[in-house]
Amino acid sequence: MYILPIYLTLISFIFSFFFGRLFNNYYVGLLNSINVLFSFIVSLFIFYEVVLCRSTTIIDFGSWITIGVLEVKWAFMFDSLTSVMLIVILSISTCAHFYSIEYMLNDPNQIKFMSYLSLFTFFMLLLVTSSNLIILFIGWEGVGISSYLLINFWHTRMGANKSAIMAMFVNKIGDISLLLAFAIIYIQLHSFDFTILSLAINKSLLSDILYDNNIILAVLDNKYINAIGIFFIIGAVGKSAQLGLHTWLPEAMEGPTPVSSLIHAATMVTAGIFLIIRTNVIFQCSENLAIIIIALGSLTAFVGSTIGVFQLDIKKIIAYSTCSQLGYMFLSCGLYGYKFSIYHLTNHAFFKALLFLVAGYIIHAINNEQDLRKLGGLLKILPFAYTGLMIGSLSLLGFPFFSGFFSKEKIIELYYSAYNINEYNAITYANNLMFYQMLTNIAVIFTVLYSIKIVVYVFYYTFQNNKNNLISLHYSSYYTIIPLFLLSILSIISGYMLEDLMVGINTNSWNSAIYKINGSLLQPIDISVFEFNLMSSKLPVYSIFYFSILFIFLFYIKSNILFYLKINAIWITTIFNHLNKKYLFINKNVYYPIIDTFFKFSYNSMYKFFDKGIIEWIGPFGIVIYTNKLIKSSLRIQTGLIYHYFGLIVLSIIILILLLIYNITI
Amino acid sequence: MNNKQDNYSIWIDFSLWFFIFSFLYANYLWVIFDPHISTFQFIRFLRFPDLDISARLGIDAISFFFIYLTSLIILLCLLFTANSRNTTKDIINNSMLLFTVGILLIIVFYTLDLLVFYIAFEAILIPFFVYIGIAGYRTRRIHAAYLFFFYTLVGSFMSLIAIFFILLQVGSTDVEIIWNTEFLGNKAYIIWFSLFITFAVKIPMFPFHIWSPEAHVEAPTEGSVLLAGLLLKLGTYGMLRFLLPTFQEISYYFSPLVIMIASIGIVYTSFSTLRQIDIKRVIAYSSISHMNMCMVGLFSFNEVALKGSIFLLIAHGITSGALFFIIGSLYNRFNTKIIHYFGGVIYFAPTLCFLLLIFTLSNTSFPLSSNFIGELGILVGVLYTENYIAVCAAVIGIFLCTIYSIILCNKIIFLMPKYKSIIVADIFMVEIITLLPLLFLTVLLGILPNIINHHFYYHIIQDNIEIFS
Repeated sequence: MYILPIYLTLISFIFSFFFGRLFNNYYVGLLNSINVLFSFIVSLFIFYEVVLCRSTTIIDFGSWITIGVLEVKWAFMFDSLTSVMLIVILSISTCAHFYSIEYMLNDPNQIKFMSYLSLFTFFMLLLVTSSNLIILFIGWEGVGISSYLLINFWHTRMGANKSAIMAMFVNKIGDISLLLAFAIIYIQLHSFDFTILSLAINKSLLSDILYDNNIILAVLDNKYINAIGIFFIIGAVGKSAQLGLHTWLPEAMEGPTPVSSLIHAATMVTAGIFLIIRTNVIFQCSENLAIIIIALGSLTAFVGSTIGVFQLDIKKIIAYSTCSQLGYMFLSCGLYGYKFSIYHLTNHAFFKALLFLVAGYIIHAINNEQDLRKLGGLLKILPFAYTGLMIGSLSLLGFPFFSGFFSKEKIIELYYSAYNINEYNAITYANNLMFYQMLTNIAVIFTVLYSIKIVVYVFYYTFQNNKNNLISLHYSSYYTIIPLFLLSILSIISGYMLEDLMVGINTNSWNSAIYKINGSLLQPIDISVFEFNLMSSKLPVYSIFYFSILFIFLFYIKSNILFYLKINAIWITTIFNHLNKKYLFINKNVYYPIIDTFFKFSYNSMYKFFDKGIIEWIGPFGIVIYTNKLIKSSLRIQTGLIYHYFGLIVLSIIILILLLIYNITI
Repeated sequence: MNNKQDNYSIWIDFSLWFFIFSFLYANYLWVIFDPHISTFQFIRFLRFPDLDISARLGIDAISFFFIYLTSLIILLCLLFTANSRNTTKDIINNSMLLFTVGILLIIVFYTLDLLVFYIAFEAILIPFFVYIGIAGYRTRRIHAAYLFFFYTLVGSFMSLIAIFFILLQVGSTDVEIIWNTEFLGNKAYIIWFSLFITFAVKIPMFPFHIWSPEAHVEAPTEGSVLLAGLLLKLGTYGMLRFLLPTFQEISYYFSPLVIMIASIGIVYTSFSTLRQIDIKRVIAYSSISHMNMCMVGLFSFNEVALKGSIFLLIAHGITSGALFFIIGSLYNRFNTKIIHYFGGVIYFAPTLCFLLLIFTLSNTSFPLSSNFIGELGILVGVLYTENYIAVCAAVIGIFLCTIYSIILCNKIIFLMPKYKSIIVADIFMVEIITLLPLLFLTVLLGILPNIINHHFYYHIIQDNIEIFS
């Protein structure tokens, strides 16, 4: 039963990809959706057995790769982390599948689309259920390639092609570094298994086993832990779109909206977070790695939200908000709050999938219009979309008692518990941490700003678009409505329902998924909840209240308040341009030059200078030309005149005689 | 096949049936092959009583898979040729040449004698030189044929020197006798270098590589398939069979040099590939890069890397062969190999595009495809020897391979068709029959690599190699 979701998604991919064209696209879509729904029901059973009944399961199918001493097994592990991820993935995937039956109905390639969605779900399941790093890597690469195919689904558009290739390449940087990390882990531990990894690093556990069972295991050096950790971070940064490699995520919005909802909001982009939580033993061993993660996460949260405010495409805004929310999850890992990270991941998956699907609903209704300025006044026209978007936005900005509130609040509070983690250079560490905390708090405010901006721009004011679009308005059927309804319910209740299970004080549900290393490190949050006064720890809540009301008023007074702000002074315009064009100065000064240099280098230096230059001159062309020259010069000696030959003979005789006289032997 | 029934030649039939039989027999050999025996199996003798020469033939795990690959790929090439659009006379010519190359390749992989190996190795040049020379319409093909011929010939003459030295000392060129002989002093260095240059030209390694893209581009489809799938493997096979086991210490002594050259080769060819506009040239350069990665694996003197690189050799033979078949099919449809003219092929030929994507992914060492197993082994093994330059080169190779492969694939498959008046057919039955075995093998070796790997479990290159353990 545990493997059933993997089989079902794979079978539905194979069936619909190869034989789907023999059937009606509606029924193939329905079949795929029901397969995924059934997988979801199975995952509920898995959740019951693994989390509630506390039985971690490992299913071993025997050996996969055996190259000499290198051995990799086909084995799947179902622990608490996996089963939570299974529920998240399969519930969102079910919603996206049902949604796209309606959403893609008029597309000629709907069957291909459904099969790609199933393929993606299959690889994602492989990623989360893997029991060793190489099977995780299958899923990791597989979700990359299915994301490439799905972004590029409408493949006649140049933008879709560009962004798909970009996503592929940026992810590949992460993949390569991940492969290197695996190799280092292998040569140190002679295994790719997560269990061995945790045992080898968790020295206290290791010593018990060493003395009890006489198992001899290698113990990782600190040097290698840092190297592995940094490579893992690069991998996670690539996949989870953290700062530096984040550029592909907003571009990936070229794909159809169910893809954005399933892949680029809820599941695939959280694979990096999942990797870090899965291998959290490595990150618990080094404070240097922790501060890197905190820095990356908080900067991403800040940068993502600031860019998001100035975007005008409804999907791009949500994409940047995904970026920023992923930053929260990432920094939570840096603060050793792995369970908060997975908690926020779950809640975020629900409300972000809801936001995207509602955005798709609106876009679909108004003749594929994505520009925020051309929507407006939809409150009367699409009240259900208004409800969904309102719930999603409130949850996103952390409005009290929506799901985002529970998780985001706790992650920001987590900072207070981290100040006493580092014992060696406490002051520097604390200063750094303060800066990052400030960034995170600012990011909260910007989140409020763009969430309210979407709601106000889309649903209030007056309708800005062509009248014909109103006349040909397209209301979606129940296939679209029901997933939205379910996700709305989940966005409201998931935070409250799961709080005690996932992040309750001294919760036991994580069993062995999140390791506790005995040593100098504190177990952060369990203590800190009571330590600080309410005023400072609840700062985000007050700021959310305050700024929500403020921004609502601002937008109410003047619809184009941002425009007037922009033209107020030239320096504000400059800042606006930079933010609107996604930190243009970084793009211009960092990304483009790197790519340019690469391509110029490869052509000018490598191909033109070496391949077509030096090597050809030393090789074939050079030999031909110099042989010809040699022949010509030797021909010049044979002039055909008697006195030339006679002179040569005399000259050579003289030389021979001289050699004889001076008795020089050759 | 039916519409050509009237002017069909007995020769085509014969060569096809010969290789159908040999492929079936190779499958049968796989069944009866005993992986637990660490010496050669199926030993036969080539006897020339008049000349007082006898040479041994035999198979071990390494040569077996090359023989298997040879019989499969030659068969597919013959099929592809027999159904091409050429005139019957051309088809007969081509299949005669392919048949000759195939027989010689099987001899090369089957023999246990350095002299016979050398003779067959040289003799492949002649049909292949003709094959490049008679194909196509571009005058550049003459240049390519000369390049191919002379580069390999000059390299091969070096091994003649080595054979003379070996004959002078040992009196025999049998592999197992050479392995157990100790060559001393400068003689050993001379033999090592001359053999190394022979094989390095064939791989091809860095300074000697420029014949390879030219020959790949100018050769017809089947010629490129043979070049990438089999002929490039001759170099590495020679190293595995003769160079490494005979001269372990010298190979170990020179391994930093070899790894350095191979690393330069990987980085350099990967970068060169980024800006190529000819599809065949892209795959040809990528083949060079992969072959050099195999060299890094072979000379890092680590068990995992060695076995990984042998696996990568086999996997790359399948993958690049299939890619060249697909490019041939594209060329038959569009009559061009320049990337800029392609676009939106998925509208006309979705099945072809599907296969192209699968094999491109395999070329970029996607997990669950055969190349991944080899590259994982090489990466782990090389990192184990702490040779960080080689690791960097391998990583750059893998990364850039993804970039150029995906750009190529994307430009061919997606976007709008450039010329809307050109409408082509989807893949024909013959092309499906040609590509399906390769697809099957790629996926099978990705999912169950141990069907090959367990042949290497007990020994890799005979027992007399101690460094590898």
